Amino acid sequence: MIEKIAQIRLQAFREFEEAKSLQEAEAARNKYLGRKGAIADLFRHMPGIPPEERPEAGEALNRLRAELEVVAETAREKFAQKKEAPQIDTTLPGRMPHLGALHPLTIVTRQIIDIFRQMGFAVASGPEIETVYYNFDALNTPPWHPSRDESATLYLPNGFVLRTETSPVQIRVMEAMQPPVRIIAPGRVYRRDRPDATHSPMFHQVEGLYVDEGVTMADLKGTLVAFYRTLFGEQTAVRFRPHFFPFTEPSAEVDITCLFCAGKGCRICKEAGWIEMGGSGMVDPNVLDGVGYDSEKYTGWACGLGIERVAMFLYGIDNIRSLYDGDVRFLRQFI
Amino acid sequence: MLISYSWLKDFVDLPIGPEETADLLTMLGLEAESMTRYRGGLDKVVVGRVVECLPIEGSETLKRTRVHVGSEVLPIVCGAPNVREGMIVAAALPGAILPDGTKIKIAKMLGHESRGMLVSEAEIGMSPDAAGVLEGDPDWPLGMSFEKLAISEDTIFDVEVTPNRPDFLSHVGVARDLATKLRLPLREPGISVEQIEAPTSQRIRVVLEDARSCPRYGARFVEGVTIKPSPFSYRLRLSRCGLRPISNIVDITNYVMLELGHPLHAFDYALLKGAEIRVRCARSGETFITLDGKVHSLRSGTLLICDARRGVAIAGVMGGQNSEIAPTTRDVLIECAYFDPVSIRRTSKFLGINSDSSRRFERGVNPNGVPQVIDRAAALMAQFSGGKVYRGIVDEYPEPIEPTPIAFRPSRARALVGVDIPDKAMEEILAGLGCQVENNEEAWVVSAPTFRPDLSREVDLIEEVIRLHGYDEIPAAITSKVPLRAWRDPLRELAERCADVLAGLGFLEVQSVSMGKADPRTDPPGIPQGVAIANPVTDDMTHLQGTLRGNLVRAASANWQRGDRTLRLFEMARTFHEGTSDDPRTWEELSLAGILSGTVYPVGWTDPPKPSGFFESKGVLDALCQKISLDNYEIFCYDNISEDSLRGGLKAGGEILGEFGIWNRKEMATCEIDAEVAYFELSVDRLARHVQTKRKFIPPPRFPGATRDIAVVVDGGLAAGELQTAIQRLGGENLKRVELFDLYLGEQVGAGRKSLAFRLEFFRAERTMTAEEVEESVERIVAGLKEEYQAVRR
Repeated sequence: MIEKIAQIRLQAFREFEEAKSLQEAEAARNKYLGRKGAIADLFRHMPGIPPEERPEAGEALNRLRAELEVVAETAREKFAQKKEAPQIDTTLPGRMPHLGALHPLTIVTRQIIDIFRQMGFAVASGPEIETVYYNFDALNTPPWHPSRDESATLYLPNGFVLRTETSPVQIRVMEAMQPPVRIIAPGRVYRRDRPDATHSPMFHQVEGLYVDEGVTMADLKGTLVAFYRTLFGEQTAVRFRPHFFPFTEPSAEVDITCLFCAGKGCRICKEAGWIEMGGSGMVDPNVLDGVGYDSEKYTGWACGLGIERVAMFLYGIDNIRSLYDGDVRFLRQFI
Repeated sequence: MLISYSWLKDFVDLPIGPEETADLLTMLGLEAESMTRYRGGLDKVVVGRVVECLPIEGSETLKRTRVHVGSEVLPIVCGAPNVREGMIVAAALPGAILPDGTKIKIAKMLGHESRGMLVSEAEIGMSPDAAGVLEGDPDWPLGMSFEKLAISEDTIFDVEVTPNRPDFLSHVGVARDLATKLRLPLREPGISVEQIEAPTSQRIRVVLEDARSCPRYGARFVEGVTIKPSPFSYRLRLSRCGLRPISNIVDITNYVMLELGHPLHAFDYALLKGAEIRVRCARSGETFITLDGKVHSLRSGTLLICDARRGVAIAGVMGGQNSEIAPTTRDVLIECAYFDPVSIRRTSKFLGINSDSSRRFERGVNPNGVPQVIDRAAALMAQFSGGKVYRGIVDEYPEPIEPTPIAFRPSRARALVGVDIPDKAMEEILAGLGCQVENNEEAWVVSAPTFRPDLSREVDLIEEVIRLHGYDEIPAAITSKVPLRAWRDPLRELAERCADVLAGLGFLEVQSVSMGKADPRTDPPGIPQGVAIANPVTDDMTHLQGTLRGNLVRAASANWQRGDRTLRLFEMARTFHEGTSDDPRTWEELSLAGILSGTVYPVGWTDPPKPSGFFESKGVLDALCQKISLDNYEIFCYDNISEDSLRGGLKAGGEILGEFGIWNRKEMATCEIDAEVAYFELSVDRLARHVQTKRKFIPPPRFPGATRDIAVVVDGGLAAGELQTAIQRLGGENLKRVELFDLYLGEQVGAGRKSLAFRLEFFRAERTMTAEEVEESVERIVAGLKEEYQAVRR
């Protein structure tokens, strides 16, 4: 009996193996596993074999049936697949939702806010339509200063001014609270500049202000070094260059290592190795006194930088207008 | 401001070259924006004298000249307007190569041989002057190569002078900072005027009628000048520094101005009436012709320099045509005055004249520099014009301006800048800049020179100390005393959340210039004009935007034209609004707007494109409201204006938070978009008042609930929203959720009727609901709907 089972096993395997179509496979299945198939036949002959051989033979027969069922199913699947052909072309594109994106200026503003917030700064804001007092007078801008000119600054017919920098927020914050003050103020500002590749009559700035007892120019430099290294990378150096701003004294322009040539000198930095990022300085005592702070007791620093400039450097954008014209071919690059 | 490197070297022995000097100037706060190099001379360009200069027939400009170049006389054809017989010129000989690569060859022009070329200063790279051929000095040896003439090479720095530094508008002023920085002595121009016995006061009387606007007026008289070109080296410096040489007398006033920073004026004495200078305010409407030939109508307050009868110069701004130096001038009156900066600024602005003179007076020249400046000019005039200088200055200076003493604490300086600068270094710096320092241990008294009007307080001096000590010496502090406090800013957080949600819903963020001009001919309806700007930059930026939709539609239109027609754009920015009659103040708020057009999904291969419409935009708005946890909000529509032109809004707590709607194809046609466009615009400021700041967790039901679907047929005009509210009310507290899942209009329900199918979810928090309880609720709802709306259950 055992021999017989082994023989049928070999024969069945060969037949399933050689089956060339679903029909042949089905025929093989009937021949061996069908109700009148070879295995059923062997089971029928079981009572005829000696009782001591029966357990072994029964076990072998069961094992063979299980094996053949798997083989038969595999064979059927093999041919069924070939026949039912519509397979998935997985290289077809997926069904996409619309992909939105934040504007690069928003992305950069958030990065800047994030860095300053980690350094302990709060975020403040103020109106874009300002009074002459907040935009100029309180910031110690002399009456003759050219920035007050109608050729430089946009005014409303009622004498209000479109803020020319985010600095008025400094005044509003200091009027509202006592030192220590550590804030940044991002926002839109306006200048009477004709639009061209590098100028826009509206752009974005971030203002920084820190007033407390014992704040020094070294604190200013340290903060800006930490900020620019985080934003542009550890290799970034910061240089202070003397300048004049009405609301700070001493004042400094802030340069950083040129991002394009790493300070070696190139077209972008006009061979200087440095690029200008913004203004800064120690808050003028007149400004502090004007908001009721004791300028003998408290000192502070202020800084400002242009967000467009940062975005243009970070992404290699060469025309400021492409930031504002809503061209989706531009916007989709920031997905 | 153009600053000459070689000129600086007249006053300080710079041990560094032009590049290093430029860097040093930049680090002193005088940013050198560019540098221009000029050469001293060129090989094969020689000194010549024009011995003959004749016109060429058939040409209006060309002349044939014969030029004596020492060894020979060359025929040269020349087209320069200024070439004349007897002139000393630069002749480029055949074989010479000019800096621009031009090779000089023997040529024939209109039949005349030309054996060389008379060149301008620009053509041989000596200065930017290309107006005519170079005019040399009479004493130059003919035939000498320009390479051997002692004409200095030079580098000109174009520096950006900040408005607080009038002294930087002069070479001596710039040299002073360099000398202090380099710890070298400053050598101011030596002045010794040879004077004759006759006193100046014999020829001129000065009357100050307005000593507030003109605190000081100095005059000198030079007799018997000969008007001619000034020496070449002086002319060269002027043209390299951007001023056109005119004649010796005028050139000297300009030269001294560039050297010492103080503008001067020279009058033709013969044209002044009554030997008198009277400084007074102009009468309103008085007319005056400036030396550029322009007629000005003055206003009262304009300071006018007059002779005994009439105005002869607008003080500090520009001289008059009636008294200007001419080739015939014999006697010269030199004016050197100090005018009040405010007065000059007003006049210059009123007249629209920004002259080299007004620019300096506006910022403040040195009132106490008058004698030095006028003597320098007089000495040069005597030297270059052969004039005789009368003795003394007629100097009206009723109330001398003294430097104000400033208390200065070196310890405060160190504390403010965070650099340990020794007392001695501070003292040297301040002294180098011209300050008088009284060093009394801790409290110093410093008198700043009157040429530095920007130094009036201790902090101004501290800046000088650190500026000259070097900003590079300021260390970067690596620790900081951070107050242990953190801030939340709910409005900013909400704004960021809104932007994130919309970006997540497939919108691209736009940032536009917040100024524009609404135009009803090209805008869709409902675009307000915003707030007018008094002095707009351009004609299309006359207003601050009253809505964000204007810019979004313009962006959409441009994209549509380019073929990008599935658009989801949003912007968040301030919008600006005129006040009302009750409160006329203009106001602004943070707004958020979006527009949608095109298809529901980006066009793909799986499904046919489905146009995005009203319900997509309502869905987006709904999603946004949910994602920002807006409390009890309602999206509503006004009665339909037409089927495809819907207007509605968003409200919460009785407050309208914004609007939304659809512009149909016709409305979009003006924007050149052939599709309907959905829009919404919300006030973020107002949204902020209605967002839940605290969310409370509600545990999910512990016991199984039950779901039932009901479909009811109602009148076609009944709003689904109303029905849903009624179901919610009728269902009682166990009905936790009602969701519309089918809408059917068709034959099976009859004309003018519609079928709405809702999924109802019931559960109780404390136990499993029985089937009877659920059925009871459903029946109550159905009965209620029947009673209230004649709804029939399907």
